[in-house]
Amino acid sequence: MAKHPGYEPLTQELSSLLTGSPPPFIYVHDPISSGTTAGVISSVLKTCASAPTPLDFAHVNAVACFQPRILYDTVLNQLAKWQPRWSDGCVVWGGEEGERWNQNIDGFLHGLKAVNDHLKKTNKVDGQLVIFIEKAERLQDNIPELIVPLARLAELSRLNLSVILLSDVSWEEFRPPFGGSPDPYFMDVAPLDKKAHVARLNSVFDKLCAKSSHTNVPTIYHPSLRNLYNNFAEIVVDTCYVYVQDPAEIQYVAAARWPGFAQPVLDAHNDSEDPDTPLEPPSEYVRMRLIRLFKPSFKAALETLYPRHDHALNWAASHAPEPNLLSKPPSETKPLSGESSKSPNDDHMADLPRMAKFLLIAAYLASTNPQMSDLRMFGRGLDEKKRKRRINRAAPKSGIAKLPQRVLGPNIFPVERLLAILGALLEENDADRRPEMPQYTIPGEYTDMETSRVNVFTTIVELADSGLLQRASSTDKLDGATFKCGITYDTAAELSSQLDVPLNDLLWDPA
Amino acid sequence: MSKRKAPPLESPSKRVKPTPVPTQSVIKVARVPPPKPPTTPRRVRRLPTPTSDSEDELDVIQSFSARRVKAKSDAEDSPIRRTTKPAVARTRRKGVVKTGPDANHDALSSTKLLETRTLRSGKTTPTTPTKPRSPKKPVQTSKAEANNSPKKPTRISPVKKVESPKKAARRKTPLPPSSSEDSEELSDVPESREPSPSPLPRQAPAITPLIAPRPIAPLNATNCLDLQKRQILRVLQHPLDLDVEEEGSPSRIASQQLSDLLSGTVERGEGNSCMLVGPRGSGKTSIVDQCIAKLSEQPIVLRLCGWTQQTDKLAIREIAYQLGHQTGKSFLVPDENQGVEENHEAPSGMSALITAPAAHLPALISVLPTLARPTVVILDALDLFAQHPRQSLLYCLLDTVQSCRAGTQTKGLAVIGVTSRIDTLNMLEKRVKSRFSGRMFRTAPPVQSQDWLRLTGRILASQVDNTIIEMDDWKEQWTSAVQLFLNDPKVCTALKETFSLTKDVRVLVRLLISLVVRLSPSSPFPTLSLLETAIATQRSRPPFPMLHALPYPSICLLIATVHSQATGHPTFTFEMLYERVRDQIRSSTAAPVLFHGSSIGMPQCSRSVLLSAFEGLVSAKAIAFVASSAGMAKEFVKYRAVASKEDIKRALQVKGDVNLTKWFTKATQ
Repeated sequence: MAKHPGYEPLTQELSSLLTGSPPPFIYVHDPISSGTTAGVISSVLKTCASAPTPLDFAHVNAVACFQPRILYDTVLNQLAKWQPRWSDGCVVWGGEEGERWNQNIDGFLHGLKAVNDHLKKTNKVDGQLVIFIEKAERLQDNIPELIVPLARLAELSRLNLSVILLSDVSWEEFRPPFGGSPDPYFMDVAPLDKKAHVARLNSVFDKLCAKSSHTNVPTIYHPSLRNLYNNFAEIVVDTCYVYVQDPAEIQYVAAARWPGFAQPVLDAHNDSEDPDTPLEPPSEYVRMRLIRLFKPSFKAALETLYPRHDHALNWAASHAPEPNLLSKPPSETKPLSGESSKSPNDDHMADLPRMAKFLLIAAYLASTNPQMSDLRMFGRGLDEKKRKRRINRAAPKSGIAKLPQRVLGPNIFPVERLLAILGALLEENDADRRPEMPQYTIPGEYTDMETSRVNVFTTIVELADSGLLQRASSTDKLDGATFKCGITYDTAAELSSQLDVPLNDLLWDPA
Repeated sequence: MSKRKAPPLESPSKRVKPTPVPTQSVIKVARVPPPKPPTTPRRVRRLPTPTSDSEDELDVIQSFSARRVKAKSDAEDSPIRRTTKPAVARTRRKGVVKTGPDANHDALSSTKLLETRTLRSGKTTPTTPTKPRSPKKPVQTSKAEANNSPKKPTRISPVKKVESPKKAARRKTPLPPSSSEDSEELSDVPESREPSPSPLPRQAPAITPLIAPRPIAPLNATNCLDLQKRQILRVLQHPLDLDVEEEGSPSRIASQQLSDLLSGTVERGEGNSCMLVGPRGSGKTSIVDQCIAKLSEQPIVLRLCGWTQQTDKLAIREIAYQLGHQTGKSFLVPDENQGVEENHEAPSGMSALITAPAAHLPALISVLPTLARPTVVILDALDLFAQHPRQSLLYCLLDTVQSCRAGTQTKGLAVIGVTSRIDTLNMLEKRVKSRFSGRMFRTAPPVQSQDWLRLTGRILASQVDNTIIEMDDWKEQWTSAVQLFLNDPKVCTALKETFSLTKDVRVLVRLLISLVVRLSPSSPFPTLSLLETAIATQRSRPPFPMLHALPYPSICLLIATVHSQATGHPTFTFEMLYERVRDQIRSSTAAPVLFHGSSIGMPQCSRSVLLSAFEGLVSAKAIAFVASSAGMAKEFVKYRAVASKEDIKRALQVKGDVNLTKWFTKATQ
C-alpha cells in the first residue's frame, strides 16, 4: 500500500472496513485538507480493489458532477471501467445496448444492478461496490434531491454497496430533514502533525528525484540535496504550521521556495573547477548560511502564496537569489526579506490620472465620513478649532457598541457630495499647481470650474466601470446617481501619499 | 472483571467437588490482599433478588455465562467431559484450571493459574469441605490430563515459570478494586497485550500442539483477528436476528402475522393490504424480506420507495420496469402467451408496459392480479406516498387489492406499506382508507438495555466458521476477552447510557463497527477505551467536532466573532474581525517578554492570511452569510457565526493554547 505519512489511522480504519463488510454509508469529515484526504482514500480504494476480494469503486467529484445525469453516468462508467471514446460518440456504459441509465434515480438503480451483474460475470464472484464522492458539500447546492437516495443507496439497490462521502463540512450541515437518510458511519480525519508534514514533503522530493535522476546535469531535485531538503522542509513546516495545516498549501510554499534555496548550491557547483564531478551534499556551513539567508522569506512566501496573490512559478522567479550568492563574502549578503507583496491592485493605481486619484480619495472620504461631518471637516472660513473632529474614544456605558464606518463598509453617497468633497480637496491640495487663470477672482471659483468639467464626469463613469467606484443606483438614471467607494483604506492611503493629501486628518474616525 | 466471572462458578453442584487442598493454602494467602468489598455484597444481593436495575443488568450477562458454567460443571462431573465437544471454551478452561495446579503441584509458582483459582475457590471456601476432597481431585485431573495430552507438562511448565511472577503481580493488583476506574484500565492492559497468557493455561488439553501456546505466531494472530473482524462486520450488516429474539417480542409477532398474511396471498390468492409500523432501525424492511423469502412460492415482488419515486408517475414507471424485468426474465415468455389466450387485456398491458407513456399506466395496476404469479408490492416510506396529490397510486393499488377475490382465476396481490410514521393511517384520504384493510403490524427495537447488552454479546461473540487449526486457540481467547469486556461494569454503563439516549440499534451497530475496526494486532481485544472512542465519534456528535483542528488564524477569527457578539454585533464583516484580531495580537506582543528567544505573545498574522482563513471558515460553514451581497467588497459582506461560543470554548480546551484561551475569556472591549 502506498505510504501516506500522517494518515495511518484513516487508512487503517478504512481498509479494514473495506476488506470486511463496509457499512452502507460512510461519512468522512476533514475540515482541513479534504483534497489530500480524497487522494488518500482513493489510493486505499485502489489497494483494496487489487486485493483478492473483488471491490470495484467509482471516485467522483461533486464539483464536476453538478447534474444528476453526469453523476449517474460517471459512476456507472467508472464502476464498469468503461472509457467513453470520442470516436464512437462518447457512448456511456450500456449505451451500446440501447439502455439509458441516467434518466432518473430509478434508472440509476437499475444501472447499478446491471453493472453489478456485469461485474459478477467478469469477476465470477459477488463483489463489493464502493462509490466515493468527494467535495460532497456541493451535492447540497447542486443536487440536493439526491442526498437521501445516495445515503440509502445500498438499501434501495439491494446490492452489496457502500457510499463514501468526503467533505469539509460536517454532516449536520446537510443532513436531510425528516430522517430521510440514515446516519452514516462517521470518520474524522485529524490534521497532520509537523513530522508528518515533513515526511510528506520528503516523499515528494524523493519522487521528483527519481524522475530527474536520469539526467547528468544536477538539478535542484538531486539525491545529494536530500538532506538539505529535509532541513529546508523542517523550517518551512515550522514557519507555516501555525498558519496553515493543509499539506497541499505547505507543499506549494515549499515548491515555490526550494528552487531559489537550492540554486546557490548548484551555482557553486557549476562554478567549481570541475563541474562534471557529481554534486556533493553541501557542507554544514553552507547549509547554515542558506538557512540564515532564506528564512525570512518563508513567511513572506506564505503570505503571498497562501492567498494566491501570486502563483508559485512567478513568485519563485521574482524572489530568486542573486546568482552565485555563496561566492560572495557573508558580510555582503543580506537575508532575503521577500518583501514585495503589495496587492496587485496598487500597481495599477499609479497609472491613474491625477484627477481620478483625487476622485477616489474623495469617494473614500464620502463613503467613510458621516455626512453631517462634512461641513466641519471641509468647511472653510470657520474657526480652525471648530474644524477639529470630535474624537470620542470612550466606550459607551451600555447598549450596542458603535463601530467605525471603515469596518462596516462604504456608505452610499450622491454624486453631488462627491463633487463637493472633491472641490474641497482640490482647493486645499491642488490649487497651487494650476496654471494662472486671472479671470477667476472669487475664491474657489477656479476650483468650481475644474470640478464641473466634463472630464470629471467621464472619469467618474470610467471609475465606476472599472469597479473602483460602485454604482448604487441604476445606470440609466441621469439624475441623483449614487455611488459607493470601491477601494480599501490601504489603497486610499497609498493614493493620498502620492498626492500629498493628509488622509488621516480628513477622516472623521481614523483607525 | 475476573471476579465477575467467578460467581457463576460456584454453583452448588460444582462446589462440592472442586477445590483441592493445595490450592486452598494458596487461596488463603492470595485472598488476604484483595478484600473485595464490592464483589461480595453484589453477589449476595444478586442471588436472592435480581430486582434492582443495575443488578438486573448484571444478571443478564451472568445468566448468559451461567448457562455455560452449568454445562461446564456438568461436564466436569461426568468423566467424559474431555470428549464432549459442545463444552466450548469454558469447559476446557475449567478443566485447565483444575489441571493447572496439579501440573504445578509441587512448584506453587504458577501464580497465574492459582490466582484464578484463588478467586473462585476463595468465594466458595467457607462452605466447601476442601480438605478431604483435595487429594482426590488432583488425581482425577492428572489422569485426565495424561489421557489427553502427554505433552502438557512440558508445555505448561516453561510458560508458567517464565511468566508467573510478573503476571501474578499484574493480575492481582487490578483485581481487588475492580469497581474503580484505574483498576479497570490496568486489567484491560494486560489482557490486551498478552492474549495468550490467560487463555493458554486454559488450553492445556487443547488440540493445538506445543507450537501454538503463547507466542501465537503474530501472523496467525493477525489472520485470526482479521477473520474475526470480518465475521463481526458481516454480522453487523444484519444485527437484528429474529430467530434469536425471544418469543413474544413485537417484531416476532409482526413477522408471524405478516407471513400469515403473505401466505394467504400466495397460497390462496387473497388480496391483502397491511402496514408495518415501527421506529427507524427496528428491522421493518428485513422482516418483510425474511417473510417473502420464507414463502413457498416466490411471488413477484415490486419494491417502491417514497424517497425515490417522488411522484406517482415515477412510481408507475418503476412498477412497469420491475414487472417487465421479473416476469419477462424468469418464466413469463411462455406464460405470457397463455395470458394472451386467456385474457386479452393483460398481454397488451405487458407488452406495452415499458414503452407506454406514463399516463396510460395506471391501468397496469389492475393487471397485477391477473399475472401468473402472486404479486407483493412493498411501499417503503408509505407516508411519502400518502403525500402525493390525490393519493392516486395508493387508491389504485388498494382498490385492486380489495377487488381481488380469492378462488377466482386471479392470483393474489398483497400491498405492504412500511413506514416509521405512526399517524400514516390518518394521512390517507377517506376513499383510500376505506379500501385499506387497516391491519397494522408493529415492530419495535429492543426495549430494554439488557437486550442491547445481549445483542452486543451475541455480535461480538459471533464465531468464525473457518476451520483453521489455530482458530480454536483464537476463539477461546476471543470469547474470554469478549466475556471480560462485557462483564466490565463501565462497559455496561456506557452501553446503557447510549441506550437511554437512543434506542436505535443502528447507533449500536456503528459503535460496534468502530470498536471492531480499531482492533489491531497490538491490541486485539475490545476494551473500554475503544468503546469510549467509538462513542465520542459515533454517538450524538457535537455540531463542530473538529473545530480544535483548525489552524491558528481561523481560531483567532472565531474568538473575534464571540467578542463581536458580546458587543452587540452578532453580524459582522471581515474588517470588524480583522481589527479585533490585529489589536489583540498587537497588545499581546506589546510586552517585550522573551522566552527561549522568542516572544511569548501571539504570533503575527498578516491580513491576507487571515482573509484566506476567513474564507476557509465560510466554506466550512462555521460562518454563514446573513444576506445576499451582490456587488459588495468581500471584506464588508455581513456574516454571522454558526459555531457557538460553547463550541469554541470546547475547541480551545482541546487545543490548550494559553494566549487564545486568555483572549477568549477576557472581557470584550
